[in-house]
Amino acid sequence: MLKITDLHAEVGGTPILKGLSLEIPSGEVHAIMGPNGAGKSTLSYVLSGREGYEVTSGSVTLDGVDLLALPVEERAAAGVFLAFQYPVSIPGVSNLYFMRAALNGVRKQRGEEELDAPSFMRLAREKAKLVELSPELLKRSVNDGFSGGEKKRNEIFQMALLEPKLAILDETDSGLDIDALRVVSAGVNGLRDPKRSMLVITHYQRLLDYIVPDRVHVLVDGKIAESGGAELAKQLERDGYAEHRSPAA
Amino acid sequence: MIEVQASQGPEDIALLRPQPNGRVEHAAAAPSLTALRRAAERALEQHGLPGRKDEAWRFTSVRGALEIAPSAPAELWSLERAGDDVRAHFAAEAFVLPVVDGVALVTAVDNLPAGVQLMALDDAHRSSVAPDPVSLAPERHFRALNTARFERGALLRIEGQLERPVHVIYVSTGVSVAHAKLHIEVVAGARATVIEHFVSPRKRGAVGQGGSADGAANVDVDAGPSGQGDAPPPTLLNAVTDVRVGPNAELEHVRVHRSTQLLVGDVATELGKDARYHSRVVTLGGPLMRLSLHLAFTGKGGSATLEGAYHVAGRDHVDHHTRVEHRASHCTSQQDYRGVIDGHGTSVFDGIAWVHQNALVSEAHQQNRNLLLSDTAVAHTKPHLEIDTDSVVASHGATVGSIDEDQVFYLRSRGMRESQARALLTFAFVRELLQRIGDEGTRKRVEEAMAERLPDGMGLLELFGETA
Ligand SMILES: Nc1ncnc2c1ncn2[C@@H]1O[C@H](COP(=O)(O)OP(=O)(O)OP(=O)(O)O)[C@@H](O)[C@H]1O
Ligand SMILES: [Mg+2]
Repeated sequence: MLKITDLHAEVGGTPILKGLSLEIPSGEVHAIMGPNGAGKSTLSYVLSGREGYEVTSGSVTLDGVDLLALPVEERAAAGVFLAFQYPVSIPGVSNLYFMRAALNGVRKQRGEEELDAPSFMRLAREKAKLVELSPELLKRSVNDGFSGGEKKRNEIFQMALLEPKLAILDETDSGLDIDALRVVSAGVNGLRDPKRSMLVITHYQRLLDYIVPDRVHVLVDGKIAESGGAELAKQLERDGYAEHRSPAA
Repeated sequence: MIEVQASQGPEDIALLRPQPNGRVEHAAAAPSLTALRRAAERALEQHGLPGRKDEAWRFTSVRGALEIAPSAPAELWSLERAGDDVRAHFAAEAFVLPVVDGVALVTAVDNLPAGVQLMALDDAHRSSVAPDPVSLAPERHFRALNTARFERGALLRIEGQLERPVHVIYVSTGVSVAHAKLHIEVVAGARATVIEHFVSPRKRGAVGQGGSADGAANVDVDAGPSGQGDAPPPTLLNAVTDVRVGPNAELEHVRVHRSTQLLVGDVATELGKDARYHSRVVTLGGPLMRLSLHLAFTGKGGSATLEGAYHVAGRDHVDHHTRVEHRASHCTSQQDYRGVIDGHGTSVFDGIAWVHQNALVSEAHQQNRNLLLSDTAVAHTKPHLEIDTDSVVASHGATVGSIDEDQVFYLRSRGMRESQARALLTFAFVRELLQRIGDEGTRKRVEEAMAERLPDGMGLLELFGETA
């Protein structure tokens, strides 16, 4: 389970997260919604350990492990996975070879045996089916020349391979057409697991029709302003964030 | 240290001293060759050797080279022995021309197929196949010195389709100064690959660094004392390669620079109608690697790709100067130079694509990208276009930057170690060019050698699905 307690974080000296607390028990899916610039992506970067995102106070643990003490790759090994809002393309590096190196890197850190090429290939094909990612895209350079939707599918494919304990999906629905949204959601639902916590960041209630969350949180100005059940998303869709904004904003 | 000025008098420059017991003067040379040598001597007297005041040498000091006095040549038998070592090492290859201390051992190549001629330049000058000098590069500076002093050059003339590459291996027995001259002629309709390898002298196994497919023992081309710790005095190889690709002919011309010698290279290429030329240069460090590439389209419809991949570290200095002249219409040139610079290394790129007035419907592209891995690494880059006609598609660009931190974060977030992520991104940057080398053995060796030079580069190739 993920436990965030009174988290404060700055970017370039500007406080962005201002006392955020959140718990996601294993097996649950929580959604975070909130206005642009509220700090949703910042939270995802802080959780995954990106440089330049400085935690000034508070704590984050995943199954009791202090995440904030670990460098990025060790957090990945500890089970953190971030599906990027804007996946980065890496020309010249094949998707498959990269993921084999990544998976084996993670397995090694976990003390598991590395996968040889044939077993990895079998696994990769199976996971690619889950999000209907074409085998041709597996061979191409990571996200290079991928369409917006293909990039997002690729993120979920990677997540399926790495089998994280904490999956953070940052606006995975943006840029997806209706069919792709259904496919990707089905992929995510297939990855729901009693041992896995998921944090789904989205602007649109529509995604939550497919991936039905256990809890919905509203993030405003670096803090959780309100939490509720799945119905909260419907209410936000109707009313917007007006009542959550501070009068000064 | 003395500051060497441009056009300094010959008597002041050690490099210009005659070679003690040199063999050139004694050769009963072909008259046409003797005439060329005389003209070169005069050019030397007039222009001397380049200094910092020459625009083309502004960022590249050759002072170290100018201070090297020629040493006496090695005995011929010792050149031949080194040539045998080279052949033994490259036993898996079909055609190997050893060039030892600048001396082309043309008789060492005995299995050439019909349609391929290899002969000493001197003999060529006496015969009907005397090469027209490729006249587009001015006979000056190091090129003039080369013509005046080279001992035995070679003419490689190719007719028909040569399926396997010709490897030209430059080695040294440790002589302080060597001048090598090679003419490559690919006649109308022919096709070939020529790969020039520049390897280190004075170090056991230098020739075979990177391993060989056949597992042959490393050769020893060491003639002088070599020991760990006592850095050998610098030696210079001044290599000129003239290339003529005939109408509708094709040449892939690869150069692999992997030497601790000071290297000054000059390549001049003339392309006939519908000729295709691919220059692929790989440079793996070196105290000085200066390559001047001069290319001209003399007939319609030619195409040329000029590519260079380089890794510069320590105090290495790598300098590419290119000049591509579109003298005829409907020709296409693409220049793509990419390098990684680490430590106190310096790279220089100065390239020009010049589209002449009569060269209608031309296409000329030029790009130089540099990845700096340290704060002390330096890249000077100056791609430029000179266009004297309207109907041209042209582009040029240069970048000097460091590794993209967003990419590093992305890779790490998937569990890859930071050092591995950086190595991967660095390698991917240059690898694309290495992969275009057609000869598989050479491609694998340079990929391996490049990977090994990168920080944390071991095991990189496996990441790309290639077993090392
Ligand atoms: N590198 C940075 N330097 C300064 N400010 C930054 C930096 N990165 C983010 N911010 C600021 O932090 C705030 C939160 O940004 P963040 O990307 O977390 O918002 P978000 O909730 O994900 O918004 P969106 O819904 O638009 O994706 C914004 O005001 C943004 O401008
Ligand atoms: Mg965001």
